Amino acid sequence: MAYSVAGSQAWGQTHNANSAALAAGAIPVASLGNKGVLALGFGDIADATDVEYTLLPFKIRVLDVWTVKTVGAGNAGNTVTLRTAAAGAGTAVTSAMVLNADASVTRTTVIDDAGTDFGATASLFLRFAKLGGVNNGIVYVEYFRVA
Amino acid sequence: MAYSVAAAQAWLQREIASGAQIAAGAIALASMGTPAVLSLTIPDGASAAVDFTGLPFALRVIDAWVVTTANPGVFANTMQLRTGADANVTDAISINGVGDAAVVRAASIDDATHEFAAGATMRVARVRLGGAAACIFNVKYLRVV
Repeated sequence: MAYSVAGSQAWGQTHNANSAALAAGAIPVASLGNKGVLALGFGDIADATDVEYTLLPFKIRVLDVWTVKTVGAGNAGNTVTLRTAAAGAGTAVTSAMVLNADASVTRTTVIDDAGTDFGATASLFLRFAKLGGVNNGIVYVEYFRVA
Repeated sequence: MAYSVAAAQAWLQREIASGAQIAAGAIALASMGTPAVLSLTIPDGASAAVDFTGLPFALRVIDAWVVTTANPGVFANTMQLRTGADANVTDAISINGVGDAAVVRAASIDDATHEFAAGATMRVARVRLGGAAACIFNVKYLRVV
């Protein structure tokens, strides 16, 4: 098959190297995976609303999460939380990250290991609170692939 | 051709998987990109633009942080990522009083300027009002196509 940049990109997206959490002792190559990032964009989502991103292509473990606010000011009470299911079910994986000043970066202060693994075809949910302004932004989910 | 670690490394550096931002709905495989880091050495010096030119491919800045490599002292020294046209990407990251080996993270990233095209210049605006300004400016990015 002829080389193409698009083909190479697709290969890389498909073949994120697995990683695995280790106990003390030997460090196998299989634990030395590479990370990936999902950029979840969202608009001005209403208060008490869940937004679902569906059909994850492969199983992942969430390592870190942060937000970048876009499109104008929010409010100190506006937040977004990564969850395993809509509110009322599942687990909050992150803290409620504030969506306030435009361009501000807010990092999660919590990663709950009860909800860090998302299986292939699973959904990721973002739960929003909105007390004023607009909520537009990006949630970056940094992960490694797990077998 | 025989396998070599060096060749594989070069391939990975050239072919870092891109990641496309997605809206709610199905998570496309093309959104599962690989983040990587540009580590920019900022030498000590007077206030000036420190330019890094000829970006090999288009990318989006998704995070940034400074690691000081000398004690900056207590002066209002800052580091700010900018485009080659001098538009702000991050806030001016203050290293005032943080000491040597400190890690200081960007508090803002402007989505109006966070994407750099292939061939573009990345600029770090070094502001030194006293003490030392030597540091490493790390840029975490996603390749975009």
